[in-house]
Formats: sequence, structure tokens, C-alpha cells
Amino acid sequence: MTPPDANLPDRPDYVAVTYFKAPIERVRRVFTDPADQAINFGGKTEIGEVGERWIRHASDKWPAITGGVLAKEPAGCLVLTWGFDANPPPDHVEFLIEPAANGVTRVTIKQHHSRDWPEDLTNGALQGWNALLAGPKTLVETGTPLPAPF
Amino acid sequence: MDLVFRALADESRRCLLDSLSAKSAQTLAELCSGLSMTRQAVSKHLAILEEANLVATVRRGREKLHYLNPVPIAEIANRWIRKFERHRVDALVDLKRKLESE
Repeated sequence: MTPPDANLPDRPDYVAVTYFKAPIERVRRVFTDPADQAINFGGKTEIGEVGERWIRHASDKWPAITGGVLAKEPAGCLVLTWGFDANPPPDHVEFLIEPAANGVTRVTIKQHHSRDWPEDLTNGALQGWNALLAGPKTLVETGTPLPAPF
Repeated sequence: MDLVFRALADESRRCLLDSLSAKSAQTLAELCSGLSMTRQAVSKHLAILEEANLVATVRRGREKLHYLNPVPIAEIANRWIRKFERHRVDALVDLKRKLESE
């Protein structure tokens, strides 16, 4: 699938793929239902419409993460910019939810960094987005959420 | 998980993962240039790694970019390394890296 936004760099810095043993509708709900989002994004999360902003509110351990909503099309695609402060740098994260064979759903996260990041920040960000894959997977496949790593 | 272990049970494929870990988004040509393997061998090993989901790919025009996909290895770690032990394991890994680089 090609990026829905022509302005997106076409060479992501990081790609992670996982497969969910669940139908695509269920997996999509995990990323769009407000109750599920709170679990998966590690805290209360509000995602606006395209052109608006989104925010994962601060928790005890993590600062707020915020950014803009770039795209929600095609269905199962969510493209966000994000950063740890109120004026986030133009770093993109792209979620793609696609059907694979036999009722299995593939979720891809592509990260586009706008500049060279220090290693510790990159590692922290990767852990965060990886947790975003592990949380929904456990929830969808077992019905119970994974304890939040945040 | 069988596919993952089978894919990892080969030194050449582990070298390919090392290469992708050091530098993301490599094309087949780039991967070949850094390793003493034929293009055909690299291509065959990449297919096995991709099937095991250890390598993810992104198409860019006619090129195919390769990425180390950390998810299967993270799943192995999650299965056998309990969360509260992890920081101790991390400390050991750091120590080992430090000692072996001296």
C-alpha cells in the first residue's frame, strides 16, 4: 500500500509488522474505539478528525504525546505526526491495518523521523510504538488487555 | 515461532539481520555489497527471513527496502523474560557489550 499522503517521506526509518489472529473489523476497533485506545496508547487518548490534533494525555511515567492527524483513509490507515511537546516536530507515524490470509490481520507501523535522533530517544520511541502493537494483540486475541508498560 | 527459530538457525541470515540492525531501509544491492555472499544467496535468505516476519519490506518505486522487524524477537523475549527481570537482563547485556568491546 502506498502512503496516502504525498508529502510523506517514502523511506520510513523504521518498520514493524505483526499479525493478529482476529478479523480486521475487530482490530480496527482497537485503534478507533475510545475505550480500547486508552489501553493501547497507554493512557487517555483523543484522536480528532483529519486536519485536527490528537493527544495521549500525560501519565505518571510519560509526558503527553501530541500531534496532528494527517490521514484516516483508506479504512484501516491512520497517519499521525507526533512529539513530546506542544509544538511537535514533523515526525510521522503511520499505522496500516490490512487483511492477511485466513482471518488473520496484518498491522504495520512505519515511522518517519524528520531528523537524526539521539539513540536513547529513538529506542524509547520504538519501545513505545512496539508496546502499541503488543497491547492490542493481547486484547484482541485473549479478550484481556496487557498491563500497560507505561 | 518455529519459522522464527528455523530462520535464525543460520549464521548467514543472522549476519543479514545484523546488517539491517545497523542500517535500516537497505536495498538488495546494498545488503549484498556489505556481505561476502552472492546475490542469489542473499535473496534466498531474505525470503526465509521475510516468511518468518523477521524482515519487513517497503516498496519504493522499483526498489524494495528491507527492515529488521523486531516484533517476533520481542515476542520471544516477552514469553521467557518476565517484565520485572528485564532491567537486570538489560544490565547484563550492557555489561557484556562493555567487557567485550574493551
